[in-house]
Amino acid sequence: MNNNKWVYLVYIAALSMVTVSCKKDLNVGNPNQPNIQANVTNEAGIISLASGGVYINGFYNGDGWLGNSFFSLPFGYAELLGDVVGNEGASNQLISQVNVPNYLILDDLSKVDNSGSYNRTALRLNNTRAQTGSGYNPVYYQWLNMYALNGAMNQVISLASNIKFSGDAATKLNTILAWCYWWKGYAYAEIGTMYYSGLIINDPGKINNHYKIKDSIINQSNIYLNQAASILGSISASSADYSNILGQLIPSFCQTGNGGVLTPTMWIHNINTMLARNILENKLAPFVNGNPNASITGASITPMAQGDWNTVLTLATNGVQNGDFVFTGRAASANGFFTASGGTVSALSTGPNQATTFKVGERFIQSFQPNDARKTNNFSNATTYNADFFSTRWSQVSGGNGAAGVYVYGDRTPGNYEQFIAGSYEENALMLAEANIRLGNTDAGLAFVDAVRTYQGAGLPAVSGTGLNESQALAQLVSERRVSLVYRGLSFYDLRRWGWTYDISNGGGSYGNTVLYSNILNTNVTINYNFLDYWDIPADETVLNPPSSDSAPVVNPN
Amino acid sequence: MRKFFLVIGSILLLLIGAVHAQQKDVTGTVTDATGTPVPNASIRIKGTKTGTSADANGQFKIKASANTVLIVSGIGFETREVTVGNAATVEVRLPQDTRALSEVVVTGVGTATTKKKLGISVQSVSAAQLPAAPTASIDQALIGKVPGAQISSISGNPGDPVNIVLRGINTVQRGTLPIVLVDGIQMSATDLNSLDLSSIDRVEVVEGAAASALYGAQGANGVIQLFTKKGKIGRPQINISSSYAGNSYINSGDFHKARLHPYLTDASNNIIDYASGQPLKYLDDGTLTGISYANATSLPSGEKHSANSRYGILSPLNINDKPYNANLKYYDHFKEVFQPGFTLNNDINISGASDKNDYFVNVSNNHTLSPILQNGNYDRTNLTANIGIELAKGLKLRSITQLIYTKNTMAPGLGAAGGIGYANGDHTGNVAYVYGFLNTSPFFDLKYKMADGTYPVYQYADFLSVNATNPYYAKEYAQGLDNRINATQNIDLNYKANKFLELDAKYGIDYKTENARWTYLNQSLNINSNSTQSWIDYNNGNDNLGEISNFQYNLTFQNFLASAFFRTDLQKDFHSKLPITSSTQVSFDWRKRKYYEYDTYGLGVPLVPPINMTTVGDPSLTSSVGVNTDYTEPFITYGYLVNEKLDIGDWGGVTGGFRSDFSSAFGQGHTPFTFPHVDGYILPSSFNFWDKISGVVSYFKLRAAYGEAGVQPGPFDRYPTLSPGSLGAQSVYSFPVTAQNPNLAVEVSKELEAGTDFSINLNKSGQWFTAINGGFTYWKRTSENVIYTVSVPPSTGATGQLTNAISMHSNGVEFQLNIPVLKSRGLSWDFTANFGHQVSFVDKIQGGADIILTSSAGSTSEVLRQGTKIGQIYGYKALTSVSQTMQDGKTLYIDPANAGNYQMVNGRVVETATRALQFTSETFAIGDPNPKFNMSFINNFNFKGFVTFSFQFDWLNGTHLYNQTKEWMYRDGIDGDFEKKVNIGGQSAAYTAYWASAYYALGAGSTFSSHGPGNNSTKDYFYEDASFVRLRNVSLAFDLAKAFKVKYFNKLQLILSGRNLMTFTKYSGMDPEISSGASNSSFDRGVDHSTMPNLKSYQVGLNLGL
Repeated sequence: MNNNKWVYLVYIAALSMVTVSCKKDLNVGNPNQPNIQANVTNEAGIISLASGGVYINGFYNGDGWLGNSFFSLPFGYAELLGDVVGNEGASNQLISQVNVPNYLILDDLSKVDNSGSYNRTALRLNNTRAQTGSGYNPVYYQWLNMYALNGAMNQVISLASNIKFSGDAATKLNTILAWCYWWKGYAYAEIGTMYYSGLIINDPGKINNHYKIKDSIINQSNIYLNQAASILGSISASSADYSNILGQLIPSFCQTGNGGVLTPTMWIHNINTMLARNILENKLAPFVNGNPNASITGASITPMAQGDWNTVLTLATNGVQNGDFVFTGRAASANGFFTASGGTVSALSTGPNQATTFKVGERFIQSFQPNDARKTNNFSNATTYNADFFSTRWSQVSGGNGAAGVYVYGDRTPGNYEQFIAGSYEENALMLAEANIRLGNTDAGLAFVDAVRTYQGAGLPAVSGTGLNESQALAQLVSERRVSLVYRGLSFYDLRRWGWTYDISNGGGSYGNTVLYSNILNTNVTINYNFLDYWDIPADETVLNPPSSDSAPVVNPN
Repeated sequence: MRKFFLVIGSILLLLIGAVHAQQKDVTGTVTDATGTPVPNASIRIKGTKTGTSADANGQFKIKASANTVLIVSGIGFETREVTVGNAATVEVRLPQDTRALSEVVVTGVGTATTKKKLGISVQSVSAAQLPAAPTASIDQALIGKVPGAQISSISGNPGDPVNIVLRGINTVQRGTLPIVLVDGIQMSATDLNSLDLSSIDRVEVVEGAAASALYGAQGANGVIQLFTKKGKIGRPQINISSSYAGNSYINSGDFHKARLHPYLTDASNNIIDYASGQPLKYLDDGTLTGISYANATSLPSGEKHSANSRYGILSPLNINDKPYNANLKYYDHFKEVFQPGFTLNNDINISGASDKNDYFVNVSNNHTLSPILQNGNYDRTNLTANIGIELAKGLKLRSITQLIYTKNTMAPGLGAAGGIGYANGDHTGNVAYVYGFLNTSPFFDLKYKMADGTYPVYQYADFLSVNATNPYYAKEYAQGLDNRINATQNIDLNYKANKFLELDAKYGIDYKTENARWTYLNQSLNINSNSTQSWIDYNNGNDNLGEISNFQYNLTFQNFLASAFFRTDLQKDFHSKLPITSSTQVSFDWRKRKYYEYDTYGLGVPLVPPINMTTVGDPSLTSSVGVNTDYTEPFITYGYLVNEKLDIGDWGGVTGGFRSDFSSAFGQGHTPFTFPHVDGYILPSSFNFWDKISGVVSYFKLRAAYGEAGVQPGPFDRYPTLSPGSLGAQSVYSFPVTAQNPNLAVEVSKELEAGTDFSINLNKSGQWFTAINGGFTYWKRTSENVIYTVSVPPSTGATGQLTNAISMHSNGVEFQLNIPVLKSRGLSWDFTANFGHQVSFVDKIQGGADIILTSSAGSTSEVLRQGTKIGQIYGYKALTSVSQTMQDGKTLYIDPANAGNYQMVNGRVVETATRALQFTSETFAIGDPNPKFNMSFINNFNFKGFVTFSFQFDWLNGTHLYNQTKEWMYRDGIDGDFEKKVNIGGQSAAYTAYWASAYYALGAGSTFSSHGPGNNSTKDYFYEDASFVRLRNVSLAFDLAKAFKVKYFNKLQLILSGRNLMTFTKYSGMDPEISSGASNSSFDRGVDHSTMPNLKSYQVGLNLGL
């Protein structure tokens, strides 16, 4: 036995070495990823979280289906339902069904009935958790993104007060808080404008099941936007600490063109535009078949009152001015939050119509006034996409056809296309235009239409001062809103408030449309969209977080 | 107790007798039936404990008298008794032990134990029983060999892993793969299919937690242990073998594209332009425009679709009956893409041993040409060396080395290895463009070249063929290269201190380094790519300038195992009267795994060489190169094992113990989890009362075992993190979509198994059906704390949280029957049947809500629901009666007043006017795709030792597949079904509307929609019985050396064999065995979605033994 002592020693030594070294090794952590306790403890950490919480949680995660961001998927639905773009080939995410009208009446008065598979049927049949899992539930994504944005901002707000900032600490904290409030306001606006009801969640990590009607959600949006404005009002325009922080919160590749480090004043302008939008997009301003006094029944919203128009006018007057920076997104060549070829509804609509995910629709092109330089600079009719309702002769040319000073609708070169996230100069000006026209100041309103056309290089003669009546002026306004604000997530809301997406029997409908059908070009088609005006709450929320007894309906009763 | 004394008494009497007899030296030789020496056979004088063992050449020497009876036994052989007689030498021939009761196993028992004395079920398969599959890999060879185990070959793409389910589903997120041990050491960096068959001596499998409790927190899915061949004492042996196999793809369902079409034609049957009426011509870019169906759709409901839209297919007037015999031709895409490949196997090994040392060195090469367009090769070279050295008396060192070099040149999308996470070993090769060609209309020639000699990428015709991608284009513009080196070194230091104590230390390091590069050439000169804005890429979604994607993987796995065994025999060692032997094992077991991945890309590839990372550059980007992934995943676990085995004579035994494990993946601190186990067996056939029937039932054992084993949480599941990212130059953090959980517990599987092993003598003296040998096991298990991401409401800002959320249970039976059908002088025929049945249920999900699963196989809907089987597919059902009600049991789908508008076609309700199938508008559990049972029938014939013939049939009964491949091909009406006529409204015709409605339609009566919501949704129509019987293996071998006593050769064997030659199935897809879901997924296993079918191979081989 003695001869073999060394054998025992080797065994025992090996065993004890391993045992001793083991226990402390167990806490391997995750070396690839940061965490709150270790990494969100200083200025750099909170900025990283505040920025990522917006662009990644709010606008990127969960959208990797068709395209890859909030601006391709939720904005994509807005443009599909706004009958700007269409698709019949792909079933993914229901993009070929969500926007199918109830029926059409063609030029020869024959009726094309799609009652079996139109918007309401398709949306409700697919609003189940299983269909979300399979990628067929359109109502899911906007809810997902905006509550992720709201939740991230709630966390940042709660963490920010514990951070020791250098320099003018109060201003730095305020800049972070303004950022969070602004995006919370944005999230509630996107929820309240799209869904029949929503949840108010302002405590980090907490949820509740008291669903509130959409008006309460819009009210929350207004509260947070005003809170942001009030903080910004206290920040000096010359504060380097403010611009330093904001300059880091906004990705550098977005700080070009209309994007940049907003001054507190510019930001307040942006807030006013959003506040005006919250009113305008959530009321009816029916303009059906050229009738400014049309009325809609069976809607979830009420018409704009005189006071509403005046409020919009006041807010928009102090809204985004020409030259103000606004919130934009761009594709980065690397490390972006969306790609140049798929991150926006514009990108998905750019290219030869037979190959693109979305096809630029006939109804969008018909919205251009004759000789609009934007049309010739951006669209080609080289190939025809054959389908039913979504047949189109038009394709959107990447980067445009090169006309100087003319707005470009799509560009698949990284960084070239500017995606407006919230308000823009054009939107604000056209709100001023519509409010003025509705308030009887027709020419004052049309002047804003002209201003936008000039701004985008349309090359059209002025319409202000040409003696247009209210209906004609609104037709110009509608035309301009359709073509200048396209791909900004507004097209559906516009069609809704003008009454076009409501059932013809309720006073809605869209008239005088161009439809290429069975190779025959119809130019006076009546379309009965009959779309659900506010979406039901996704099943993913209502099944896992069933409404309390005092909740507002989670299914749109209209 | 009485029996006990009787036995003791008789032993004593015998002892006395032996002492009095006349002793002499007897020498002997022990050989097998063919005359080959049996080394280390044990020789015992009957009635005594005196004995010896034979040396490596089968020689032994013993003192005995003339009337002494020697009991001679050897592992793998039947025990024989011989009377010494007057001669000074004895020759003992031991027949093969088909019952394998003397076989010693170690897996799951810790200490080597004969099968006779096992309280658990351990399956073992020897090398001789493993067929020489063309893949030359263990995983393929094991199919059908292990009773109970479901091993399926789920893809015919070279290098792809098999799916293995041993006993039930115990975990959701961690898959079904058991742990793999090689000579006692866990192997985790080397995949089972990389290990070479020719170096494996035998395989042991323990299937359930009761048996795998020794493996603690990683044992719940069972254990497969491989044993490397060792050199045998005698002169050095050299074996050389070569084989060639021709491979073609299986298409047991005659899956093809429709040879007839419904498109608008002129009088000469030219397919014409909808607007101009002129015959269609391919455009310069290889596409077509102007195609339309013959008729527009105009349904009684007012629904209309133009003939040149995709919904034109729904017109009741369109009939699929025109041949492609004019301007557009029919191309058989399957023939164009799936081209016969081949496999070459070469192997040489040298082995030998002396008393103290032994060696076995094997070098082999497997080379397979991809059957997808013959686009590349899978080439694997293995070096195995197993060397044993006796360092000192009782101290033995064993070193086992495996070096494996694998080179895969298949292109991305055509079978390539690579992609993010590939080296985790659970990925199949990328065959994305199989989907691309399946969904190309058959009037496109995939081999068509444009004027400049290049292939088009996107061959589409307006609304048709929109999901096309041409594999020929991929072969032209994409290149793949994957190099993998596996290096495994096991060291085992074993010290037998004395008869009581054995010390054993094992250390193994298993290392893998793998580099894959996918190059997508610059496609900007391709006319079709430019005109359609389509290209192939991995990272470069921006333009068709191409890219290089690099994937670098490193995986290191270390396992250290130190054991001490204390063995005593109370009778021998302490002169006790109790015939008890005890074996106590105390072990420490440590494992560390580290996975590292670093992926980079370069965008924009030059049009001229050299093409590498320094020449890339995309002018539209500010930065053309970047890092995708820089990821490290450490994992450490260790544990202590105490195991005590007591055997009481030959009558029975009991084993018990526990294992305690620590792990870096266990939540909140480092409290260990403890897994107990206990098992026992009793041999009624060893008792006196059995004597009456021992002639018939010569061996009968009852056994039962209970054990617990675990499945580790994911390595990072317990560490809450933020997700890092970058926005331009700024680093940003975001909240993860699914949250981790710091409190995770290990998933625990608790199993009870009970069984019997028996041997029945039917015809002891005859040649036919001499016996039935069998083993039967029933098992039942519950799995608790199963981890999965449970959905949370999105208003929380996340979508899910990892939770120990699920409870499951499963049960099953398995058995093996072995019948020596014929044992005559010249010919033997041995038959084995293996059977397994298992079923797994989800009992409870925290919160109660369904868990929606994501299938890797596309859009097929899978859900975990309380009270249902795991793996259920959910979807809509076709109506089979006009009086069918909704789930409320009362609402009729079809108003009885309208019942006359419907008729039955092929057992389903069809609306006569629209020709459309009617479906429910609510989803149902369509079914569970897992088999009711699987069974294998193995026959081996041996004629005079030099002709062997064997074949194996595998039968999977009750298995189902969701034919997603077919459903996609229904979209454009290009599936072969569209040729088939159905009788609707008194007219028999191949109505496009009938077939297409299976894809497009949904609902019935008032909920009916002819198009839209039904698009590609999951429907029972596509859920098919995929039961099959497959001739897995057939082999005929002729050994010239044995037949003609050829000089110098101890083997000169010519083998003709075939694999997967015949398949009998009702499944209408190509191959009922494939599964397109994630590899070894717990649930994602019932979908066929554009996966390469398995190969049918004819193989010829030559084995030389020197």
